[in-house]
Order: sequence, then structure tokens, then C-alpha cells
Amino acid sequence: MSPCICRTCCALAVALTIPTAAVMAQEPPNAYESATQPGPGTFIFKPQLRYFYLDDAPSSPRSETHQLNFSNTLNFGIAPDWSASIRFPLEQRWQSDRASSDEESFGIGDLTTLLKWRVWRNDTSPLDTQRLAVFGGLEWPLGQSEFSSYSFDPIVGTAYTQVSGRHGINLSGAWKFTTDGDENPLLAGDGQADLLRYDAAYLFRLDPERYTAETKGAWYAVLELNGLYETNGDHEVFLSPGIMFEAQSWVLEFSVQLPAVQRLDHRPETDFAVIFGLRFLF
Amino acid sequence: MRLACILVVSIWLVSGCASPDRRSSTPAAVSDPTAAANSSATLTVHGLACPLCAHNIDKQLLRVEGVRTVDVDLGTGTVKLNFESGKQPSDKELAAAVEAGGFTLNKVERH
Repeated sequence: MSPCICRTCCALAVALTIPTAAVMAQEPPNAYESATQPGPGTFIFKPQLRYFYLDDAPSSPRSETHQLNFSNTLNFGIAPDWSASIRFPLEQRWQSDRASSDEESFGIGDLTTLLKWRVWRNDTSPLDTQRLAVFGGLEWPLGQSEFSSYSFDPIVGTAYTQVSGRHGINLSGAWKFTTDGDENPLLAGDGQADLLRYDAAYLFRLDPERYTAETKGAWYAVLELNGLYETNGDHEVFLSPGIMFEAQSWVLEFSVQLPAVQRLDHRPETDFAVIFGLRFLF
Repeated sequence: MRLACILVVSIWLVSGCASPDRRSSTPAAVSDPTAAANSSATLTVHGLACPLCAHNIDKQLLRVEGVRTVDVDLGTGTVKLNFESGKQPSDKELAAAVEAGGFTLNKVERH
């Protein structure tokens, strides 16, 4: 497939996804999953733009890497306790090496499909709830770019969400069984090792202090811990402060990922990441 | 740059497709002169954690035959329903819609 055709396919795929798109409540920006989901026949569309800056080790031929990931997730309810999602990423990367030549690449990442089952729900008051969900799915190779893993990788995980008044907690863990991958990966999960993602988030409703009949939206402060452990021994943990505004049919989220722990032998360190996302409920 | 263009176009298209913020709906409800004569009910619902959740229950209840308008009050956890003339959904139908939205129906009061 030529690069031109590949890019046209990307744009078409995005355009086709959009009209059927739709959101999820109290889901932190960087969590892999939450235990909330849309009802049957309801859709949530989540476009999210993520910018990474990777500063390579002195021994590496590359000096720095900038990467933009534009992830489009469509989540839809299929039964009261069941939902499914499709995540379609577009990637753009700029790399400069020590010989001062720059390289730019664009392509499609792996498609992720997940099925989620809410196994437990406990609604204790008009506003308070506790929910537990399990999920499983597959990452599919798409396209023939450097962003494809060329492998089918199963994923299993669990998520817990609790809302108590102004406070919210989200915990999730996901294991990716990697069947193949890049020999020189840049990001966690791109290589040949299995990946454990673990996320913990605390959300605090800044405004309004109390909901009323006139409440049209709410501001939240978010603090996340996002862990990435690979079976080759690489381990990276980020602290991610953020802010989120939730209206009745859309959500705006902004977050910055800052490294807290980086023990990496097989890929470069991510210096920081900036995340901007939207969610629309249809 | 290509990615930025795709992002801008996508957001513009999606925001055009998104339904407007609303608590009480159905366009017909606004101009229906018989609205005052319709019966109504108040549901007490648990688990309405956020504004977006309220919209989810709104969508599920509007699919129940006979429900004309839905008005969610996050402050009290109550959902006020107006019914179409001569139509009264059963408690079971209302409970199923609330469950489908992912919430727990605690009480139904008919007016």
C-alpha cells in the first residue's frame, strides 16, 4: 500500500467513525478503562490527542523523538451490563538523529477491540456508586506502517470505579499478551514483551460543591498514577495531574504525564506527555 | 501536521453531530398544548454520580413508550417524567430503563 493510499484510508476511517460516535462518566484521561459504560443503544465517542517527547540515551543514534497519537475510541452499550469499544489510533512521529537529519513518519497503529462486562454494581445513595467490571479483547494489526505491531495481541483486565459525593476513585489493570512487536520499541507495549498497565486515579469535584436541579456541568481535578511494566524488566510510572469538565453530553479533559519512576533498558525514556481529549455522548 | 488537520476536522464534525445539552426533552413537548393534562411521575434513583450520567438515564427513559419528557435533578437524585396522553408506562418498564442506564430505581411516585 502506498503512503498516499494509506493516508487517504486513515482520513476515511476517521470520517466514517465520527457520525456514529459517542462518552463515559468519571473516567480519568489516562486510565486504560473504567467501570462505567454507556447503556444499550447509547454511544460514546472519545477522540484524544496525546503528545510524547522522548529524549534518547546518549548511546542511541537518535537525539530526540516527538510523537503525536490521535486515538479515536467508540464505545457502545450492547446490554445493561455489557459494552464494547473500538479504538483506532493514528500516529505521527518526528525523529532527529545525531547526524542532524530529521525523519517524519505517519501511519495507523493497532486497532483495539474490547468487550466489557460490569460484574457488580452498588448504588448506595442518589449520587454514590461503586462498580466493578472485567474486560477482554484483542489488538489487531492495521496497515503496514512502522506503527503496526504485525501481531494479534490479546488483552484482559479489570476496573473499579467509586463515586462518593465530591470524591471519585478509579482503579484499573490490564495485561497485554504480546505475540510479536518491534525489536527497537519507543513506547511501552510496542516491543515483544508482555505489558501490564496499572492505573489509579483520584477525582475531586471542584465545582459545584453541591449539585442542584440547575446543574449543567461539573469541574474535576484529577490526579493519576499510571504504571507500565513489561516482562523484559522495563518499568515506568507517571504522575498525571489533570483537569476535566463534564457537561451533560460531552466532556473535555486535559492532563500532563510526568515520569516518577523510569527503569528502562529496552526503550527510551518518555520525558513528558500532554493529553487533550473530548468525549461525546450520543 | 496531517494529524492536527484530521483532529480539527474530526472535532468539528463530531461537535456538529452531538446532541445539545438537555435535561428535559423531546421537541414535541415544548409545543404540545395538552402537556398540562398529562400524568406524571417522580422516580428516586440511586447512583447518578455526575451530569453525564444524568444524560444517560435521560436517553434510556425517553425510549420507553409513553414517556414525553424527562427532567433529572442531580441535587435530589429525582427524575421527573411527563407521560403522553392516555399512556402510562408500568413501574417494571421504568425500572428496566433505569437499570439499562446503569442505575438503581429506588421509588416511583405517580401524580
